[in-house]
Amino acid sequence: MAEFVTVTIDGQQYQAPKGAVLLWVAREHGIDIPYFCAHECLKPDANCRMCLIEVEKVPKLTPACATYVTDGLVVRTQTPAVLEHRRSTIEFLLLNHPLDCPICDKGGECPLQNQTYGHGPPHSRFEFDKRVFPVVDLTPLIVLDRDRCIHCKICIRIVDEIAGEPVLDFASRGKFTEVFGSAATPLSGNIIDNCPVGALTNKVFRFGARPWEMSHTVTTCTLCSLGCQIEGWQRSGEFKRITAAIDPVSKERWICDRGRFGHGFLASPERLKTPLVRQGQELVPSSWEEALGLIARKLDERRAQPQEVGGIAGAQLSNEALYLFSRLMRGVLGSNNLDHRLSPAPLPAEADVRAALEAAKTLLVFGVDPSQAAPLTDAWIKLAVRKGLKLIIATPAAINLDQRASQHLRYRPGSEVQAVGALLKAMAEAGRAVPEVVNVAATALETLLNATGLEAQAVRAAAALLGPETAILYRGVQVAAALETLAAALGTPHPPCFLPEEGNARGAADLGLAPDLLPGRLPLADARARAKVQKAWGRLNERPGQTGAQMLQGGVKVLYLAGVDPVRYNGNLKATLGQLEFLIVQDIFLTDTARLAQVVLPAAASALETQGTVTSLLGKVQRLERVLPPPGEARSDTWIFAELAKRLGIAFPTRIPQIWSELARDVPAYSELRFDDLEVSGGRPKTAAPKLVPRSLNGAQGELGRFGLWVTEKLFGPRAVLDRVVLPDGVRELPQAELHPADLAALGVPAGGKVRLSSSNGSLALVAQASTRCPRGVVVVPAGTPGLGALGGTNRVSLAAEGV
Amino acid sequence: MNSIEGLRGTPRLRPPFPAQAGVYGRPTTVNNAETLCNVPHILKNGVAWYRSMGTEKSPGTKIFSVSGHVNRPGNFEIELGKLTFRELIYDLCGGVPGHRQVKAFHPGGSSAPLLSGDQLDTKIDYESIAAAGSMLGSGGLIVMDDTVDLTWAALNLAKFYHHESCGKCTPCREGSGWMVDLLDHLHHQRGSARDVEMVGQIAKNLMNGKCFCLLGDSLGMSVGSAVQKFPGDFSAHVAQPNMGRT
Ligand code: SF4
Ligand code: SF4
Ligand code: SF4
Ligand code: FES
Repeated sequence: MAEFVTVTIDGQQYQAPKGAVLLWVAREHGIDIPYFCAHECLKPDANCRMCLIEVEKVPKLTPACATYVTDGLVVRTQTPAVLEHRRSTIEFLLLNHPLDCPICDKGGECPLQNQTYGHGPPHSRFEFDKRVFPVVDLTPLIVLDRDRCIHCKICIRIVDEIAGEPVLDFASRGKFTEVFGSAATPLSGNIIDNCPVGALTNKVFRFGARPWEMSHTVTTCTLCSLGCQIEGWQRSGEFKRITAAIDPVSKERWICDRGRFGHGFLASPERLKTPLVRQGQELVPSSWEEALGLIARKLDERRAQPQEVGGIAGAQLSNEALYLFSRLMRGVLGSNNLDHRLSPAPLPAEADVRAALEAAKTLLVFGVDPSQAAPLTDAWIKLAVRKGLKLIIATPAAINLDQRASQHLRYRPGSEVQAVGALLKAMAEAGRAVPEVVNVAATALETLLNATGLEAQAVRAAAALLGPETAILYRGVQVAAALETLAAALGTPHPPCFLPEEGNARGAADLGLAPDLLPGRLPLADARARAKVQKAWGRLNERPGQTGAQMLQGGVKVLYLAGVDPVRYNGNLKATLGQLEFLIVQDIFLTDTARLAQVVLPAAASALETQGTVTSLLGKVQRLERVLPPPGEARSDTWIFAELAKRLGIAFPTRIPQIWSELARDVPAYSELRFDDLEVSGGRPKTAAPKLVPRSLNGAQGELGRFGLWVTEKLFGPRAVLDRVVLPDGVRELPQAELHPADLAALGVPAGGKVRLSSSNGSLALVAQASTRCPRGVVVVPAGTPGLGALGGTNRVSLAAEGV
Repeated sequence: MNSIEGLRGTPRLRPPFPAQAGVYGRPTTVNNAETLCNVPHILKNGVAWYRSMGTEKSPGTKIFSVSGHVNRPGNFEIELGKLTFRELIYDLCGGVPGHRQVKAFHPGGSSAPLLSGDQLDTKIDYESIAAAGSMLGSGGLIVMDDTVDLTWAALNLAKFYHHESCGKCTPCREGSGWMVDLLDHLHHQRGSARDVEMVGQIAKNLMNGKCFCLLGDSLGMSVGSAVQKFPGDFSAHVAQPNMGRT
């Protein structure tokens, strides 16, 4: 608890925590001290000199932003000297400032403009030429107009202190000082929000609208699973831009570039606007009445054979939508054929990723590029490394965070389980306790090293860094159990954190959107849990259902797909899906999957067009708010599910708070969270202490092929929604196969040529890209690459030059 | 300290003071050669010996670097409180070339406010110079004789400070450039009385802690003192006393 002291500001006494920054203390009490360079999340720099005030016993004016509260501090903020100084500072700032507000994107939300009105002189006395720089792109997404810069250094400090990558600074001196360098980090766009002038602007939104013409609403980003708070801006129902929302407690206001620049899909002309029903070869627009009637009749017909019906709902949907979908499938139709995944994937742990990594002394990153998969982690990791975190990066190819790592483990794709085994073996060899169930004793380290391509020394060094204060971030199905075993062996307080692609994967898991789970992640096999759900929902089948992958392989006759596009993932699924008796697709675009459907329902985007909640990897349930209406006739997922249930004779709650109450009743971890309390900061579900069950490491080595395949996410990689966002050149990462130049040469692939990846399941041709980050024998492909599913989830492929 | 760490050379915010956390976050003291030079002698001869020189408040000696209009410029180590500037200039430095009059001098470097020729009898110690309205500063005595036009001198000085301004804080970064523009204007007979007034105001707006470090203050102090002490030099440059600007 902070010690409180008394400060006197303008003759009035206030209590404030000792050591607090005077500027914020004053502001908290409604005393306006103008400032530019101060920022609650940055160290004071005191360069703009706008906040100078009088401090008793100090002969000169003193910056309030760098004055810390002590007991008996007496300051004055309204003396003639202070006021005169403010006027003079504004005058200095405006000397070389273009004041081209009418054509400046910041106009209307510009601190400089506001302070000039509030404190500045009425006229300029400067009659010389202003300094002039050309306007340039600081990054492909950020425009830099150095003429407008007031040198507050906030951008430079953010890139360093917040993004953890000191790549931006000033160049030149005196009045020619200019922002120089790069801001190339996943968090670069934050400098736009925080620049107090129009020197840094959003290249995509620029000139799109005036702040006063737009309305904005705080909601949660769903473009990854961290759930950052964002502000969505709209004008007359048209999506305009995203800015970071400020966290009322920590004052943090940081989002990644995907969150900021990746929501343009909302305005895509490809959005579905009306329901479509099949007439022969054609999908023709229909009314909701007709479309829903058709589906309801079909589902009703099948109520007696629930195992023939199945549904997959994407994990970007809100908790409420997923909950009603699950109730529709299980409670109304009696089917446990329910999933949120198209192919096998682990469930996100009930953990707080940020807390886990910030409390850790060692971080093991396994098979994932955190900077791209959950972009804000990039900054958290870099800052933690500055404070002494030891980083072990185990990835098949180099990633950006490598420079920060204490140890690299460059295993061969397909040998993930053996790589973890090697770590356990090295721990056992060093005399550390390793659970009995783990069959490390039986395997020689040599064998594991041969399988993985790792060096004994690297493995031993990494193992030595692992301890109870280790956090683990990973991606990968096969390796999930192995990492849990490792965590159990280490005795870590947090389970390994899977970083999923979809924004609400944690919610989908908590809600039991899996064939063998019930709400609250309770096993379907648990009779008591079943009884409770059956009582609440009226119906529950005890027969375990099929996974998403099984349903897509023809396991059901009637399939309901909400917000998933399996054909994009695997073109071969077209045949199976085309043969289904009835396919219902509910999406925001007319996807390739939707083209095969009998009925297509236009959904509102869960991101900015619906109300609801999502659960993030930070272990928080947060609100989604409706920023703008969905296009045309599109409707929210919850509305659609409730309408269908109604037509099947079951009344679902329809208002979001109502749905939440029933959901919270059924998911024990959420039972104490009230919808209204989730606003702004969100609420934390109860989490049981993780039970880590060590398992045997008998992971079968992947199918053998000449190359190891590593599928890894990219910030602006291929993805259904991101593909439909307008982005400047050079931002989007194209689906391609990265290979070591020598491998490309050996395969005989010319520059710009294609390479075909084949497994026993199928194949896929991609443009080849020479990349030295790949070791020999490893091919790297971005997650979300269309058609990747054809390879059947293997990480061993053979490669051949295509078309030569 | 920033430069040693490979960073951009700009002043650091205090606290933390260098003695607590300086280069690479370690306690650091920064001293110039002159200060360190005193140390062996004090250690050898004792504090009392050192204090036996100079005055109560300005003990010891000080090296003056005399430049400008003197016959014998150079470094002179003198005991504080003993000599006047007149003695330093005329006895030690051989007087002013051509027997011209001293018009003005910076007693302690270009950042110390100007003193005028009639203040030559000021004693050389901290308290006397302060009483005269300037400071002993670095001990860089700059002497200007009666041929010097202080508009030119101020312009020269402003150019130096503008060149040296690191660009960190607003008043110095912007004010030094403006000062150069205005003085240059005046110097070329294009200025107005209002410009002279503005030079004085800008000087004031740079002083007394308004800048991040003392560089801006220094510019304010010297140019300010020039305008204050020698207004005639500036108004002589005014093209038309009132160019009708509001
Ligand atoms: S930065 Fe602010 S003051 Fe400057 S031109 Fe833009 S809106 Fe106007
Ligand atoms: S670009 Fe903006 S944030 Fe950066 S120093 Fe200039 S005014 Fe400050
Ligand atoms: S880190 Fe994730 S949740 Fe946050 S803004 Fe980026 S994509 Fe959205
Ligand atoms: S806000 Fe205090 S100096 Fe800039």
